[in-house]
Amino acid sequence: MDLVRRETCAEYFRRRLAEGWNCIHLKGHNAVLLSPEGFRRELDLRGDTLTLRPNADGYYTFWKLSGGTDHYALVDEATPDEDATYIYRDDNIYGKDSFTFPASGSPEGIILKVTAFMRVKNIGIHPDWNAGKLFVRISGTDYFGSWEPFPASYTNKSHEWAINPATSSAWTWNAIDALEVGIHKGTITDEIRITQVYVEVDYTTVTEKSSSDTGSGIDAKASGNPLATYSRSETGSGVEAKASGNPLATLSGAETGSGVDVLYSLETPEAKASDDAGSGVEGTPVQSAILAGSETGSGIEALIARLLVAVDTGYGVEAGDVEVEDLLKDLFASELGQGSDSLTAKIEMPTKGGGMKLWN
Amino acid sequence: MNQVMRLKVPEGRKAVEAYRTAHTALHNKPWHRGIPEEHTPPLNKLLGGLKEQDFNSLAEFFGASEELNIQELGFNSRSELRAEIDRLNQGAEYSVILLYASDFEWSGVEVSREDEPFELRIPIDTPGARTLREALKQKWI
Repeated sequence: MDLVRRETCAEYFRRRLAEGWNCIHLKGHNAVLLSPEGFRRELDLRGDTLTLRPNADGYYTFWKLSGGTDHYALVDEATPDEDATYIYRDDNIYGKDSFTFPASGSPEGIILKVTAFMRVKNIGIHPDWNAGKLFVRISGTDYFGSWEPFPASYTNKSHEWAINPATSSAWTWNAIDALEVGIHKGTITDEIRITQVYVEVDYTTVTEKSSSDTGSGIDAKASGNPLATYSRSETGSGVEAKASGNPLATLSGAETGSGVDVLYSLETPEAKASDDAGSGVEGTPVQSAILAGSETGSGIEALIARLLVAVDTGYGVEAGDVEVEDLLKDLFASELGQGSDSLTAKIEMPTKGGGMKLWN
Repeated sequence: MNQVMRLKVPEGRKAVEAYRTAHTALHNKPWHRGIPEEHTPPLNKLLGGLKEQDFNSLAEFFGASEELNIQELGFNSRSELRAEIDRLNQGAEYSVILLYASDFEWSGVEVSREDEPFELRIPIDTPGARTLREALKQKWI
């Protein structure tokens, strides 16, 4: 496991199970994991998880060390080494310690939440009393989680921030890269140890639309950066375009109206199958299925319908020919026959000297 | 703690010291990605060493090690040691910290009147209690 570990949520899910966690709930893409110590972790299996581990001491270094000189070095291990290496405070005084993290690499995707984890134990005189709280430090300000009791044996404690508390808006990768995470010890308890610290960043990624997906719009990603992001809860219509940067366009699932949906249908027409209802050209994808505002019907049928004159009858090629070829429109009402027969009937050869007349 | 365990704990401590040495060596290198993962081989070696001494986890070993420390001070458990420290501190002077209700949101302590401070009395160890604490801290951990 690296200082920066990027996993899909499914990979994260499997890793946690291999580490002894249990899945206590799984419905659709939502899972709930339970750690061996009883820590509960909710997971959206559609997303990815980035795990960050400390790479340097942060702004606060007020805790004591089990050895060495670097605070972060005692809490950065991938697998907790418990009392082998740890930081601690053994007095009745407030105290903070904090850590920085390596660059995230700014993966593509929208950050859903940031969760800070610490593996702590409290061997003080009141293990049942609230002993400390996690915090994130952003641009020189500390934003705290809630006070919690820390048990007498090592336990994972966490606090999650769904949004950046400094901006009250969604997290950005720049904010993640500048993040510090720390622990704030209260005065009641006289000894707390921390053996492991890490941060998990849950984020969504853009994936190509599969045939089993529902909804319309530009779900598909052709290549490279997310060309389009499709979320399902927004309202509004049309293409909510970005002028620059990626993603360029975002289309929401609950939208009504046309817009990108129609464009998408034009760009990727579907062949009509024989068992589809309605008439038209089967099995031939075309790009001409544009409806005018007042037209009803859909697809090729409507196009053909527009080419028909009101009094014309018939379908398909015959009717089209009737309209396009003006000569064929000159049929007399009393003439019999249709199409080429009638045309032939109209031709009159010049006759001289009692020649042949083709009227018959 | 039986005599067999008294022999196993020192062997386990050797395994922990070997891990700490490897840990120090690991962090003496310039920082690089992958350091957290590089803890794992020496950690697995430590766990293997403890397993040879019949300790099935780090927690089990460190619990036994602390128990040995406390027994070497003449007590049967940490709670017994703490009771002795409390006894030695009876009548001791206290340092008093004044805390208001807002300071106590985290403590679990019910404070009914927000305008009056709560006195947190922290005993100042008597010489006997201090000696006992220091003796414990001198032990291996």
